[in-house]
Amino acid sequence: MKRILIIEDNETNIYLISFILKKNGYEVLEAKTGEEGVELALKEKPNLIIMDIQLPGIDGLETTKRIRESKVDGGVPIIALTSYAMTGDRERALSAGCNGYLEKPINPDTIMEEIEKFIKMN
Amino acid sequence: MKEFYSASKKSIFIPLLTGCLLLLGLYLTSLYSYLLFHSLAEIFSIVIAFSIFIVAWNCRNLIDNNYFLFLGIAYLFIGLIDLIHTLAYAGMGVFPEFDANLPTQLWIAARYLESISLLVACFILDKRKVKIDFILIGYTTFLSLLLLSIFYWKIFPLCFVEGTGLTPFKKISEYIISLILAASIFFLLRKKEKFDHKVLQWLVISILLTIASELAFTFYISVYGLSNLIGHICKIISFYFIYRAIVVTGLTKPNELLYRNLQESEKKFRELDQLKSMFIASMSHELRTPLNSIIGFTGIILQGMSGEINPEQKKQLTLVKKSAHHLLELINDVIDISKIEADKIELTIREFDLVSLAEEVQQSFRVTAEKKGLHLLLQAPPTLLLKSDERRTKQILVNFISNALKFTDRGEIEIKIVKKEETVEVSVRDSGIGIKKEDISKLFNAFSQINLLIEGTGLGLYLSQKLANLLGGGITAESEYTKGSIFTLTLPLNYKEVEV
Repeated sequence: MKRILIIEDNETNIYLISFILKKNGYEVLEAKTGEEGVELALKEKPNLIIMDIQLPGIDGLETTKRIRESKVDGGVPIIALTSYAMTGDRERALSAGCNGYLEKPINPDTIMEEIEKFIKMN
Repeated sequence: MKEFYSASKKSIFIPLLTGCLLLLGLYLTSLYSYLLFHSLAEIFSIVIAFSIFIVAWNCRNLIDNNYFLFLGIAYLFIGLIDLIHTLAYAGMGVFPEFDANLPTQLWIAARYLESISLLVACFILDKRKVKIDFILIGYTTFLSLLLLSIFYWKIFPLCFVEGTGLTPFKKISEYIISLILAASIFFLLRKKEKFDHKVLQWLVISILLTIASELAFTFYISVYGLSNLIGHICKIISFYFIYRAIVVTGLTKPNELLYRNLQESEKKFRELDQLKSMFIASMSHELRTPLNSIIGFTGIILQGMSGEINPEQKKQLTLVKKSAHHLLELINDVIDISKIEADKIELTIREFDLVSLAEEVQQSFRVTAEKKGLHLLLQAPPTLLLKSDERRTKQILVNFISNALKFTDRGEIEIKIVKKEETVEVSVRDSGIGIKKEDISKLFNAFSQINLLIEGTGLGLYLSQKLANLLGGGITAESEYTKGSIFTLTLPLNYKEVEV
């Protein structure tokens, strides 16, 4: 079973995303802070990471950088969750090492399509 | 600026010449009749004294300077005494029972009042608020007592004795007055930072001329003599300069002050306006958060992931979803508009293929168009490289096409890309309901919805136009009512930073 790590501080969003993922047959790992996310990413080697950009403490960009700098991340695809208001987030996410981005609010009709595109790529 | 300077330099010559000619003319009148000369000279000073009062009085709420208000009032009374002095002058015949002593007494009284007023004014300068009533009462009392002591009690010291000339009182008084005036210059210069450089210069010139006039008057034997003439001419010029000082301060400076205040409030307004926009932007961001769960969970339930739902539930949830998306669109537009208005929008400028962007947008609308039975066509060259903000360009194009889809029920919608010399034109033509001529100008206003039956935010075109302007381009609309519309976006091929 493929495993996806969600790094997100908002409970509702975690529940929403993990619900959709589980229904589609994925195993879901959850982390509420960047530090926790880096640890889980390196230990559990998930097949994909969904990364919220606005996190308390170290943000999603820094978390992504730390995962990438570890060199043992195995090139795991990271999808950033960006917010519409922060126009520059997309560009910053890509340059921090994310492979793509999803804009919040998450659209349940299209999210799986996007995720599977990245899993296949890996 | 340069032209203005030379113009002002040129213009000083003519008034100066006129002034000299007037003084010469005035002198010539003295050859005909000294009484005529004296009357004209005094009337000139009196008119100026009254004008000073009128300007200072009417500008009292504008002048942030007690000095000029006080002097303005003082000159009203100085002018009044000078008026009586003129009427009392030897040969006028208005006060038949008095001789040449009377005008001299009035003269010296007026000069005392003038010099003391100039001195006191220096000290009033620092007072925060002067009581106009007290000043008026003070001067009125002084004038009344003076006139009584001269005309009624006849206790005012003798100033001129027919045959012998000026009395020591008069001569000493002129020296005292000169000293008071010199003192007023001294105190004035000590407070020079409170005055405009030019105004201060005029004041000092005026007081120096008054001193010169006083000294000239100490010499005369006859009230019709040469030193009397020089004294009067000095007085005229001195009054002229004090008039300039007060008029400039009273009329010209307050305007500058008002202008400065206006500029400041405009700056404040801009800051507030930016703050408002930033507030709306961050507020809207917060409004989006609840939409995460509304859109997310209605989507999940509609997909049947949480279990079967019946057709009625599906219909109702679809309405929730549609409303949530509408709200999202509205919030997004508001965020963008307030960011543009607050100057906080970030553009990402890079080269991209406009044609593949158009194809992508065409693709994303294909299903919606097919559902309505519309053809969505694209007419474009194979590729067209554009250096601009891809996302914003797409946003405008999406806005055009979603508008076209909303207002078109049959026929086709065509996207057309035409490369011009330094620009590119992207137009979207539809065969929809069209827009009445009188409504076209309203299209680009915020919250203008011409057809209220069709759902929209009313912000789409307003935002698109702002974005197009931001990218150095623009939007035009052509339409024929009931036949269809064409919206055209023009963008420079190479984005250059623009001031919006």
